[in-house]
Amino acid sequence: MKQRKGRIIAIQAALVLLMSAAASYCLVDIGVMALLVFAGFIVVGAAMIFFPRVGTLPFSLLVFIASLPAILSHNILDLGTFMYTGPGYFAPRLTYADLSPEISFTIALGIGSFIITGYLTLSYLHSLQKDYRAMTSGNAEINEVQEVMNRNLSIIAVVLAISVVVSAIVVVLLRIVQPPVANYLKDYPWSIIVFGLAAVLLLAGFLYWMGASRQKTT
Amino acid sequence: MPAKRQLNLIILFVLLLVVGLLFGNIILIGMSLVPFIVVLLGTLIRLPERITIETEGVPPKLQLGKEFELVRRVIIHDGFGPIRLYQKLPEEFELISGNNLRILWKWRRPVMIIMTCRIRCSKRGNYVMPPLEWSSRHPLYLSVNSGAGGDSQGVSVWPHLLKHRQVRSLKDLALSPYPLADVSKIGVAGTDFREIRSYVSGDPVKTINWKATAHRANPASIWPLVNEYEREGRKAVLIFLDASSAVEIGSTMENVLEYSIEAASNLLYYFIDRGYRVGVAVSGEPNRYFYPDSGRQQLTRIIPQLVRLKAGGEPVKLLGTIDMFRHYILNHKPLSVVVTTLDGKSGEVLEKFFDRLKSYYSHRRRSPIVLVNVIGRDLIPQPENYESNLPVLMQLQARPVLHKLRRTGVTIIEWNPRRQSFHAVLAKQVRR
Repeated sequence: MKQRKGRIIAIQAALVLLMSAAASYCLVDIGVMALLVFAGFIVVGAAMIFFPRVGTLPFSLLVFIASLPAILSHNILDLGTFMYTGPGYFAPRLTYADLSPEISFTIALGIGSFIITGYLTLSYLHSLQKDYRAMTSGNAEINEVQEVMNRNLSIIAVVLAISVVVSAIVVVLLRIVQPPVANYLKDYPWSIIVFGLAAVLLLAGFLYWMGASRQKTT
Repeated sequence: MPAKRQLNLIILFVLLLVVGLLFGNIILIGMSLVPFIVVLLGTLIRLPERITIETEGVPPKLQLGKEFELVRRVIIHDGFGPIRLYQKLPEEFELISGNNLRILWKWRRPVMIIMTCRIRCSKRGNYVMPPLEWSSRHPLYLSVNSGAGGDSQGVSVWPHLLKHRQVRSLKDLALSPYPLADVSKIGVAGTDFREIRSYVSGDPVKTINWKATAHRANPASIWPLVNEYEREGRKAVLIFLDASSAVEIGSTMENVLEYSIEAASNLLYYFIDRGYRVGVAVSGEPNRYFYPDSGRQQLTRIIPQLVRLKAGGEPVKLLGTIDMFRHYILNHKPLSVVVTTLDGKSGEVLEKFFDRLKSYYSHRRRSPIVLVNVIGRDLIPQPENYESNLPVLMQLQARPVLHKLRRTGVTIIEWNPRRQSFHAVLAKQVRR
């Protein structure tokens, strides 16, 4: 029982370390400051592991916010950049790139994908750990519980791996296809509304199907 | 039904996508695709459902302390993922072997699981074995499903009764040495009219004398009257069972009432098996009366009532039970067996009860009255060391009443359920 619990904690600890390292690198590059930020993330991550009631959201949100400037530095659209100059005042000067060290698109994509996958993995591990505790506190046989946990863990790992690979492929395709398509669509401004509307309707339909029509009660 | 996680993933996807589209950020759009694809892949997986459950091995009636094997045959037809099966047991039931909680992983093929539990019931009563509960979960925590299946079967747990062989081996010996009302031979009710008396619970409806009932009825009280015929049979026995709140000594599972019922049921079974006419008067909330009768029908009439019995009412209600059988005692001089405890706070009531009961018997010879004293002091849980002397104190408290009853000629059978079985006590008495 301890072995299983230890394994989950080891995976969680490894993820916390890697996500903290990635986020601190995105925020302040390598140096003393990066170490301090890294230590701060580690403390929040450790609290998440040892106090399961805290949940995975605070740590993941912190890591995501820390890596956001680096990700936003690769924006295609320029909505204006802002700098905080005092209470209630923003000056349109500082770019996102100024807030974070210069990180290439590939690394930023890797870090972004890793952070979102890490969050999902931590969240699933948290739920598995909770289930494991609930099952072992009952009279369930430990072998059965471990078998279920192992299989569930494998399924989650496979699904997350597939998701990351597919999203990476889509991003690469978008990166290749985006400039010529954008140039082509410039000549047909109405197509943006047609495609945009169709995409929004498709998405809304999918979400409705997911949420409402699949609800079943027993 | 969809779980909270599915909603969270969709919200995460939408948020990242909107921000990504707003800023034209391909990385954020790519990030948004991860939870989206997780949900999308999740929709391809159906959680375990369509479950059929068959049940075997639940007897409708069993004796206290007897074990039985509950078998649930579960077939899961569709779905993929973890499933939890749980057989809830009534509190009074004890799991001896097997497991009432199973957790398993189902692949795509249908699967059959046999859940076997060996169960023992440690308290008499009527119970319902609830249906098997199942709950399945999506492997990606996207939805959950639950339900219950299989029959919910009723189980009636009877007090532990003497084995037939044991009774047969005790030839020609009566519990009491005073066979005052022994009659020539075993038989059923005769045709000689004896009297008209008030109806009591258990009397056949055909014996009601409707004309007499109508004649005697007045607006204040209408109660049926029944014809009583001379019965051909052996000695009559009246069992007085004290089920008042005074016998609630001990724990929920082991208390004086439980053992009193066991003693009363065994006595009933013993005498019925030997052809006696046995009646039972239960003092409780409310009082219950079973007019003396012979045959196994009497057993099946009374024991289910005892199975349902709960303690209640004041101890003084025991006195009322004598009034109900006053005429019967005067006419038949039956052996009266009183099942109660002297460890309770009803000493004075018991003294009055025995005085009144004795007054209906002849003063020239020893009264055929037997007291089965169920010793309850050892049934009280003793959580603290300083409470270890409580049984001794209770014994000292009960001693004066005990001596007084002995002096008045009451035969006393003391039964300590913690030390011996009622079988042993009964066998010891009848061998004397």
